[in-house]
Amino acid sequence: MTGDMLETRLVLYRLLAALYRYPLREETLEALRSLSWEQDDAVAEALRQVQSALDTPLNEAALERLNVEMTRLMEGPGVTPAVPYASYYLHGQQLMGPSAQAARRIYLEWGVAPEQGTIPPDHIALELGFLSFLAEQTLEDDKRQDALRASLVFLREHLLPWLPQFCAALETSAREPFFGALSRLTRQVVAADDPRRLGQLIELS
Amino acid sequence: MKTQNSEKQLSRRDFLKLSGVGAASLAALQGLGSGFKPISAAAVRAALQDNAKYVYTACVMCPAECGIKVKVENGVASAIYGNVYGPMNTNGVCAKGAAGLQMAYNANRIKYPMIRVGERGEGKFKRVSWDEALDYIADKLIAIKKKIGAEAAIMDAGDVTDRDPYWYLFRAFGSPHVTEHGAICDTPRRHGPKIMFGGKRVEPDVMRPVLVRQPDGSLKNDYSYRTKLIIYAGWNPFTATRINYESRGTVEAKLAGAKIIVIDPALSNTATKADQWIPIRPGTDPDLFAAILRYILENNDDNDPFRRYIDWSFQEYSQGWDEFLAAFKSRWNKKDPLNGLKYFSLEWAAERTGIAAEKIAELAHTYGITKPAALVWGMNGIGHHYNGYVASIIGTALNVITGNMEVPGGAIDTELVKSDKGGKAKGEDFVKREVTRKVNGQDVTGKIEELHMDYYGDWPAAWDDVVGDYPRRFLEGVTLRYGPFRGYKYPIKAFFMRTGNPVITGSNTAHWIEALTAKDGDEYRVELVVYIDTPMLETGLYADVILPEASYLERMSLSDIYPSHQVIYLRDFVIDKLHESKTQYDIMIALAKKLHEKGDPDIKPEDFWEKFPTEEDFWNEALKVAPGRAHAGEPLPYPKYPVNYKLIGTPDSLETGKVTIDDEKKVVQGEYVTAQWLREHNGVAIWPMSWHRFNNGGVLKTASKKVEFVWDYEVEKDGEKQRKGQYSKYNKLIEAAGETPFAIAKLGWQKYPSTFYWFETVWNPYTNPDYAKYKDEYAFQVIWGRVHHAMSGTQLVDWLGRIPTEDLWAPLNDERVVDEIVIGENGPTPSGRKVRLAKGSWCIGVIQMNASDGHKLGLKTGDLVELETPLGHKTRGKVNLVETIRPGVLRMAMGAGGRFSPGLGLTYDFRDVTPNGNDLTDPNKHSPIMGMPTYADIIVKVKKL
Repeated sequence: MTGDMLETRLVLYRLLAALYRYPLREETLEALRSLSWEQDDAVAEALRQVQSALDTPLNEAALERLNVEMTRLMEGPGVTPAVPYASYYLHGQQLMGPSAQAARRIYLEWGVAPEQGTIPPDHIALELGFLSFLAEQTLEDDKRQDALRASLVFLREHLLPWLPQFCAALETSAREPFFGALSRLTRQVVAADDPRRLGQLIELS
Repeated sequence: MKTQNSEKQLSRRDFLKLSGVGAASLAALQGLGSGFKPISAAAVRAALQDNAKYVYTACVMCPAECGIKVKVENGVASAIYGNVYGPMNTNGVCAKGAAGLQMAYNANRIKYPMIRVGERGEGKFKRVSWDEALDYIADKLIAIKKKIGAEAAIMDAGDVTDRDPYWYLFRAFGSPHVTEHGAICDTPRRHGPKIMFGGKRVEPDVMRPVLVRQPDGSLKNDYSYRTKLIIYAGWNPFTATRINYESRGTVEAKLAGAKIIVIDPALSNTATKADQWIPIRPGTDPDLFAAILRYILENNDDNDPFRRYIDWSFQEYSQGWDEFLAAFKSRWNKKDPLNGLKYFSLEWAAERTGIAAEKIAELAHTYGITKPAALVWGMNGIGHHYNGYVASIIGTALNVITGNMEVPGGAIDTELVKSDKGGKAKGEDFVKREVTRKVNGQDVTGKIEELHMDYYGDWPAAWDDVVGDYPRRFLEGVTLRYGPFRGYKYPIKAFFMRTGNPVITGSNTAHWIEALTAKDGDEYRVELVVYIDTPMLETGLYADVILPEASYLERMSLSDIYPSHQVIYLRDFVIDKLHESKTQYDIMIALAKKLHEKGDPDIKPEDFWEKFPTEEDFWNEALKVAPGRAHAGEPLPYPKYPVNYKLIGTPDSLETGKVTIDDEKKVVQGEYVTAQWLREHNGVAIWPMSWHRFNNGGVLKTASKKVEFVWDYEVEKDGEKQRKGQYSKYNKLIEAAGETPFAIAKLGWQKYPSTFYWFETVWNPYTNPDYAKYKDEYAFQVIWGRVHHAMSGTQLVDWLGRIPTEDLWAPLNDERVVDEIVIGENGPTPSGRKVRLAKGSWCIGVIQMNASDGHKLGLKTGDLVELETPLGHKTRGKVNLVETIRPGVLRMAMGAGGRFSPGLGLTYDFRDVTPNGNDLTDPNKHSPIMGMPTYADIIVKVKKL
């Protein structure tokens, strides 16, 4: 059961990280659509909502529409309604503040660097992607405890301080239902990954 | 470690369980990747040990381009200081320089290439790859070149001087139209030095330290100030901080005994440091200068030390003074139709300037008797008036005849003495190539440069292209009137704007917008508009393609500054390029490759990536001409080298004699300056200072190598008569064509005058009878002040927006709960998110008005008013009632208001209550010789809203 939970965490963080990487690709959205869920809890419901926000079929026009909206919401140019960097919210609306440097440091301590080296390291896709990297480490017996602890710390000290503001911005500004649903899914996944659960997973390791 | 007990404590409701997820889906999701890659332990160690390092580079927050030192920690720029080794600013930075991190790390930066979706001006874009953006651009450029010619494309490189890659590219492509911001900055103010010295920009000798050759042969830094008097006319170095050393230099000079006089309708920050503030009526600087010159000529007495104003030794290095004097004097007995008084007399000047006759006399006497002195005039003053040239010429003559040019503590033409840069990297050779065009049915062959829309069109005397008159040419097309292609007509089809914002600053805003949005059927008349920059400004809203340029901390180049002698700075890479931005060099190479791949015959690998394989190779080419000035003056910089030979090479190779001397070409050739040399020498190369560099030719660039008071004359050389002088070239064109440029025809001229001339400015009821009728209804003259840290491109920097300045930029914002605006599919639209701005917490551009005027109109500070010109142009703003401005004058900050690009942050939110002076500028008035917009020739009436 624990193994299932660890795999679930990995899959969900991978999914979220990919959904915040521009541009959205057909493979990603089809992978999202292909997931199916059993129970009725908040994450499952949020997941269903995101899936139902996808056009059927997902053609080129629909994909372009999503990417144009994603550009408007997060990419720019100019002021965007949902700036996707921690520093913006935590350090006076500037980029590359202490949050970015701290994120970079943690990535280095785990021996990894973002493949896309030119964007600030505290981008939402990178922070979620790092959680998915850590989730992958938890599948290995000798790394499980450290990776779970690191995930707890990373959530508490890096992602959670700004995620609510970012999600609020995304939800109020999104005109495509997909992005509002994505934001709610993000909140739910992170909420479910709370210290109590992580603590219990650590205990079980 | 699992235990049965622990497992039983978990219920299914506590955890999400992924049941019913197929292995295939799981695999698909796992295949998405985390976005991270492993790196070696060694790389990790190196990255973690990336301690603080310092990089010397050059600022770009304004064209002063001071030397700076940037602290970098863990790959992130964390602090900016001045470069202590550079004399321009020594180790200081101004507010803008210190705030530079907020430009580089600004969330509103252009991050990716974008292509427009929707109409120009709506501001809807989609992100594209560099490949797609460059394909778009290259395809259009090639089509335009095939259909018309490369001359239909303009590359405007704006106000940042590290532009050579763009000029090189466009010239290679075959366009003669590469331009920069100078044309909309201050061309009238430069005119006197240009035609009389071959220079540009006269500043006081207050840059310290200067490196001076000592009698014992050593080089020492000289810190002493010898100036006894500086007169700043319409010049405000304390706020328009472009000549960085003038701020502290003026203070230091004053402490060392100099008197400072400021002539300005407003009490500027500089005026607060002055011994005397003379609140002149706007647009009358020529009148004042003319009265000073007449006073000096009439009262000079060579035998009376109290009246010895003129230093006749100027005649040793000048020519034409007698003709100039005669032309000047020819007006003395003529009466001004406006006031019936004799031109240039004290009474006449008092009437026109609003300064008492005794004050003018005292000013003239003080200037004449105090030596050394510098009469310095500015961009927003003389530079912004239709007849600024007249003041510039008289002012230059004054500095010359009083013996103040090039003396220690006097005045220096910094253009003549600064280091050369660019060389072959500017691509000038390309426009010497020949092309053929059909003109009136005939094939005509000539050089590409002879297709130039200004020099062979309506503005032959423009030394900088006439950007202010672009809207008319975008709308009407170009007709060439001079040279071999006379009669040839072509449209402008492509406009590239780099680091500039002409929609706000180029001349009348509505006219620019009209020109960029005009259509022929369904197509835009100017088919391709490309915007290249780091911040998103208004002109970008009208672009088809936006390219993200790397910020100044992410690129390389050379800085262009205004020193008293040759100095050059390196701009170096400080941090990695952010997002997908590229440097100018990257963009040049990438676009060149596209054009070449698509078959353009003029873009050749051997001129681009084969010649400049790395960015540094390009800038090393640009450095090959440094310092490039004549070896002249006293004390002679290098006593062992011949006088007036051109110096090339590093300071140390010249110092140690590692040179070859070419007596035929008269060049002392040392080791070329390179980027690496600069890196090894604290980012700066400094050559020695000297004075008296006009003697024996020296640094003068006129044909005669003398100061010229006559600008079209004949010399005999080898039995042949030759026309010389800075106006002779244009007059020869006019004579060959039999056609006068329209702008000077309006003055009643057939060609450019050979010596002193006089004409009035426009829209001035106090000096030009044509406008006298507006005096009562349009009782206010509008002038602009340059608030340097709140200019077009720097307002998005938060810290700068909060600094109140000089009654022009004041925290008079009302409390607002602001709808956050985004650039979306439907243009500027509220995002739904709201931000609260407390009252008085943010500075906005305001209208400075004299308190007595305000009370008469029933106004109080903070009231919103509308300004309207006789032509019906309007803008609005809040008044700031103060004592520090002449009654009847309104003053606003350039580029500070009416800002409608959402990329500007909070300034954008106050666009409805802030004034845009260019809403008022007359779109059809351009100063007649060099075509600059007449920004300060504006009269308005005021209405409370």
